[in-house]
Amino acid sequence: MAEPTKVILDSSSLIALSGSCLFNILYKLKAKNNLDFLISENVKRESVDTPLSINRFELNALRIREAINKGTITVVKQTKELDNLMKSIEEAASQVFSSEGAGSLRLIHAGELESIALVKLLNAKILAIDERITRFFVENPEELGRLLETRRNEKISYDENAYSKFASLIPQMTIIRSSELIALAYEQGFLEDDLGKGKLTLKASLFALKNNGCAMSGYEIKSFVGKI
Amino acid sequence: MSHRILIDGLTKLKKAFVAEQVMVLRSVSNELMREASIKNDQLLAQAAMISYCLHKFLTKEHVVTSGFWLEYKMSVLSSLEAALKAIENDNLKEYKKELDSISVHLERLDKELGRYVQGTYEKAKVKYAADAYYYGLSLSQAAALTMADISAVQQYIGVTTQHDIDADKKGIKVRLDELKKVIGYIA
Repeated sequence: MAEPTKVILDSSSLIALSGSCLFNILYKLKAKNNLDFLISENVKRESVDTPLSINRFELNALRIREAINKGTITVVKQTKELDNLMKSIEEAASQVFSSEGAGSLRLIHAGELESIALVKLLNAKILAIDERITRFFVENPEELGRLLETRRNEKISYDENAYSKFASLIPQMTIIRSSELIALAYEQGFLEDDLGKGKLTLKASLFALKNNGCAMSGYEIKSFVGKI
Repeated sequence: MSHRILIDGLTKLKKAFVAEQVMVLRSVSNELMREASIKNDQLLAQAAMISYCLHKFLTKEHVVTSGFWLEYKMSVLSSLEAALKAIENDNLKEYKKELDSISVHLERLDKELGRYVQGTYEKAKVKYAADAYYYGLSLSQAAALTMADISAVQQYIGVTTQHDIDADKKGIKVRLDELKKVIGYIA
């Protein structure tokens, strides 16, 4: 049997999937597509351990914990190597943007950077991350710079050399969101049992993810569903 | 630099709280949070959340007419004065102690008089973390800034229009095609 494709999940994707009751799709996607879902210890802390102490999010945390217990999601142990790589990426990331008022901007947290470091260390191909800023940072830093300027109403300096250094530390990867996992599940017929056939199933599922914080616009959903 | 903003903000906050100027408190909290997000500064964020909570409490009749309120108001004011003195003397440890004491007072008031499961202080953490995300901090970074729970922040952002403003350039179709290519799936 071929080597499974490794997918690193960030806590934002886990939270959107578990909060929208679409979490069980991961079991089917894994089996059908020979995928390995992996998370860092920090992501487990953010999406399982901490929410388990908050009534409102306990059920979501249990869904994720159960997937870990069943072996659908594997928690990768923190190692010195991971820690060192994460710190190097963090340091490089902090040099990319700066402003007169704030100096170097530390926009990305260790939690998100740890997932990126994991992609590299495990030679994974896919990173699932629903939050927008990290994705912008990796894929389109210049646009992120423009967004920062607009939002903060101040001049933001973008250091292209610093970005090149950052880019040299991170792996080539395909970045997706939980929305693409659900769109794939729809194509493979995994939503039908619980929700029935048809475009409405897909549209409602995607809006559920959006309402649980997956960074996509309503227009994007309607436009995608409309073209199917 | 950060101290000057803190001192100015706290001075305005205290003045507005004494005069019970709710809208000024709100605008002070928004200004402080903007600065906190830009500078990724937890001290500014905490001051912003306190200003937000005081604004909220002052607009709740059942809070300001309760027997507890005057006592709370006096202790918050006393801590604000002590915090201002501390920060003017560059004593960050003492400043933090006083601000923490106000936060504890506000959380206790929430428990005693609050009518929602999620208290006002907790709501402030989530709301302002969402603001920090708007200003360009990543989700975890924004949650860490206000010490909010990341699930709560993400769900809060999900029902705002934040993600409708700057749409993803690739979109679902392109990302889905990329995913399918990597996993070798052909429909």
